[in-house]
Amino acid sequence: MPISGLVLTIDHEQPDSLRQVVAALAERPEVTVGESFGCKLAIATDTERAEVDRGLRAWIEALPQVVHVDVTFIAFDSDMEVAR
Amino acid sequence: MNLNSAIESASPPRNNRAADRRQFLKQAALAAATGVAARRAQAVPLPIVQSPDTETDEAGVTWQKAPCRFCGTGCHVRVGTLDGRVVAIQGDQAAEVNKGLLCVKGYHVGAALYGKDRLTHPMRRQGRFLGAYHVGGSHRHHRAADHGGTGAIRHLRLRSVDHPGGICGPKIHEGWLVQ
Ligand code: SF4
Repeated sequence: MPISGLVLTIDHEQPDSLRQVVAALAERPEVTVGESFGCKLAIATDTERAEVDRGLRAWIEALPQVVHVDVTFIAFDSDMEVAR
Repeated sequence: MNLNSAIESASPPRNNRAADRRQFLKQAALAAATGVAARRAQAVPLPIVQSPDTETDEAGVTWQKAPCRFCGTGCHVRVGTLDGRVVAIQGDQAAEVNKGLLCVKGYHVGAALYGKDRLTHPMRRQGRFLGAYHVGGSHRHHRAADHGGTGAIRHLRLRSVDHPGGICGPKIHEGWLVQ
């Protein structure tokens, strides 16, 4: 159960980039979009497995309007339950 | 979905503790990201708010401050524990050194505790591999002393691994007993 808090840096030189990123993220049910502050956009992701989490992160980083992704929070509760 | 509606829609079902916790952790993740985004977007830094040493959130996760021990940068970590186990990690937004962020190693300070291949006691190398038996108690000190480590032993005894700066103890321990 990887749950992550991410801060996306949006390319503010591209017109309408924030709206395009939010529209792209809205198609991913694993993503909850939070508030934006200038070129920074806060999101949370919730996926079933670490591989899915990595794939989602790669997909976000590949969005043409996203120039950087910072990780601010990670929860790994269920992953650990497997190892109990 | 904006932050407010995210929080409203994240109202957890009652009597389902796992779902409660998952929803709450998602809210906490979004709140952490929002705090960092707001801070980093400001031309003028927001006032630093001291994060409490210990607090328990409504999902029962207890958050405590700790140093990351994986390098000398000294990033401040907030560690979320539940039922005696680490369940979440975030950077401390009140820390000047890392401002709410950690590197990939820092985000694994909690998970690293539960790795299946984690060494949980000192071991001696036998040939190319770590030995099958472990070195315990005073014996490990004698073995280290055999190798001229009396200064390190005194340091370990005095400062031990429960010292708040607990970076030296474990590293010396690993250095002497794993090499
Ligand atoms: S989070 Fe990364 S940079 Fe910071 S102290 Fe830990 S290992 Fe070093």
